[in-house]
Amino acid sequence: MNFPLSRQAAGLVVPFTFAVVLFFVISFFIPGYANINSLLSLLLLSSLLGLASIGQTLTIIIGGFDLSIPAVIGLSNVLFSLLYGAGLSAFLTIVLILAIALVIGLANGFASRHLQLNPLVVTLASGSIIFGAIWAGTHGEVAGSVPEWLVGLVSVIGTTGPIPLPGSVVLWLGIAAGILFLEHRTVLGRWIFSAGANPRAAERAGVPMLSVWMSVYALSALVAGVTGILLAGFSGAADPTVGTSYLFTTVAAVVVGGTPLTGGRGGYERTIAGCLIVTELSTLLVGLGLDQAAQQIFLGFLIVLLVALYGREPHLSMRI
Amino acid sequence: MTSWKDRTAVVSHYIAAITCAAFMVLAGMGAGTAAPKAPTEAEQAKALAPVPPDARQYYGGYWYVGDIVADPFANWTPHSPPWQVCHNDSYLGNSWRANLVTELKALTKQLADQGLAKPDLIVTNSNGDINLELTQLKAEIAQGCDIIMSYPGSATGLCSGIKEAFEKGILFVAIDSPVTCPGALNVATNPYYRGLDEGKWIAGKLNGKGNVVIMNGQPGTANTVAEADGLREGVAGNPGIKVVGSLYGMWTGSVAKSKMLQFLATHPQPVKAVFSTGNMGVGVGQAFQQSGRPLPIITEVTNLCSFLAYWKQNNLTANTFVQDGGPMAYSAFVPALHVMAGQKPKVNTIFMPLPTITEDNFNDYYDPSMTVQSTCFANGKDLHLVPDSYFDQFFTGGKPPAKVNVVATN
Repeated sequence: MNFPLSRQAAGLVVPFTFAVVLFFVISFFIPGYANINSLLSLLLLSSLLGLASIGQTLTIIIGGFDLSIPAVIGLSNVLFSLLYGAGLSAFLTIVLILAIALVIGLANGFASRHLQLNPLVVTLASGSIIFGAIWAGTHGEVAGSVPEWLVGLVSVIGTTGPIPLPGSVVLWLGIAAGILFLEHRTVLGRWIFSAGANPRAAERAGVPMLSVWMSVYALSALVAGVTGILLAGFSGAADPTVGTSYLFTTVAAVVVGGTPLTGGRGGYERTIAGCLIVTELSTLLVGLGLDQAAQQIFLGFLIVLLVALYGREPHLSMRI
Repeated sequence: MTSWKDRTAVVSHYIAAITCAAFMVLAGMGAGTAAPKAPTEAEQAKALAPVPPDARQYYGGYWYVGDIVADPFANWTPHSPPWQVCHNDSYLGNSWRANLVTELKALTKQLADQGLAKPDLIVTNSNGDINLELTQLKAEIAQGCDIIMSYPGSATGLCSGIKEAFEKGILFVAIDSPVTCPGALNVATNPYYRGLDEGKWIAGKLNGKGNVVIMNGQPGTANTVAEADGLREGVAGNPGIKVVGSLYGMWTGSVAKSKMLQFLATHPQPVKAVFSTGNMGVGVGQAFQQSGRPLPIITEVTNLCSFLAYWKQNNLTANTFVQDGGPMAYSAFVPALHVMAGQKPKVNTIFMPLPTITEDNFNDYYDPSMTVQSTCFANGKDLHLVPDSYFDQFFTGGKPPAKVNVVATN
């Protein structure tokens, strides 16, 4: 396996360069955009998308997919408001939610790998079960409350101690650093890429495939749970459907960032750029006053353009 | 020189990307549902002729969501009591719909206490699947339902079932979501009228000058198009008022807040008013606050307690319609009882106005226990959306209808 460094570097530099250039393009077309509030809005919205996209990135790298992310976000969002509103401490509420998310993720990974079921079907089904459980438990009526500190954490004008950034952005950067460390400096990270590059070879080389799959899906569910909690603070109230928009946008962020859907390549660093680009594109189209239909069409064409520009790396197995 | 493997991978990449883009383009085309072609003035006058004169003001833009058919039940006779009342729903996943069903159960019980109905309401829910809803409707017909109340998932998808019900003397009533099928009685509020009314109110509050943003629900739905066009018509007589943005918040607070944050980041000009079309007013207001902008006038179309709490907290200039599922179900049940008493409706579609909460009557609806997390509806003390007598003008002949009382479902 011998990859030209220039190609790998280009895979990272191009999307980040594009994200920066896009900010200036928006500033050029929309007078008044280049200010600190706009930048903070961009980072805040990107942080929510970025957290939700962690799981999608890693599951795609191992050759899977996670369609249950919106449901886990919705479940976490509803549970946080309900349990905290019922008097449980925020700490215990978060621990409980993350424990539930962990179980969901482990089940997704187990069913996909050990039972050899298609991960698309498994996560679609688990998402459906979760949504059904939310409706059955709440009948669509979700009361409760969220603490003020959580609202502040996802406020554009919020700060994190001496750092002049909203808490969710700082949290995103921290978790992102952890994910990058995991990808590039740990054994699990190497296993993740090996599992996606060539599952049969990885298995023969001793990679514990079931553990890798279960770990990745567990991580995906955990960060989806965190996203759901943050969204409870963002909107100030619970909504089971709050994660719905993250199904498409997480996949878009991964693809636009340059991680191939074929697995084994890419990485979360690219998805960070993808999140910035997707949020910027959406902002640009809103700023230009395009209606929803035109926004959808333009976004579709822009994705093709971006993928054609730098998302053309063939699957690893094609290059050995 | 690239190998065939490389080329194959590149091609597969393109295919994936193009598939993704094609999906979005199709979604975009779906989102761009244009306004239906307006009938000519002569056609409108002809359609509205059978509508009672006092109610015609609520029929503006009727063609967005339904049609007007005169004397739809001319040669039709209802079944005799005791009736089996049924409810055919397309979705039960929110408190509005849950309240609707609770109200129908209570009203059915009241009829049963008078010996006019069987005590239990039969309820089906298709969870958004129109084909399943049609199957459930046909099953309800086979089960012996005499009155089928429905919140249909489509204006046309249930037509064959509605035709069958009509032919068998079963009354089908569409609640707040008109169908264009012959044989149905539609009882609804008019989304175009809602937009028009809010537009006029905003124009008055702004003294004819200022920028307005529309926060729509879901793109492509008839309600969304009608509300937005109604608002534009409402402010049209004021050249100083400009609709500078039309966003889609999907009736979800966090989505509306994200879109409004993006809009405000890219539109430095002042925004004086926002027309929120349901469940998004709080998110809209929070986006303004977090962007360091002064809060605009916010109008809503649903009377959620959370919006009233936010209104109170921030001393908003605002208004909202009152339209909970429970009172809406009652409003559709009353005309149904007119028909079951042998009375003939003059038209197939009954549009009704809605009460409005403004600064003047705010305290009649607000309760200090409401918070921005509350999911209840602020219905006030009088749960009638319109007086029962409003419906009298739409009927002729027959006997007086059975009497029922609206019950609180919150």
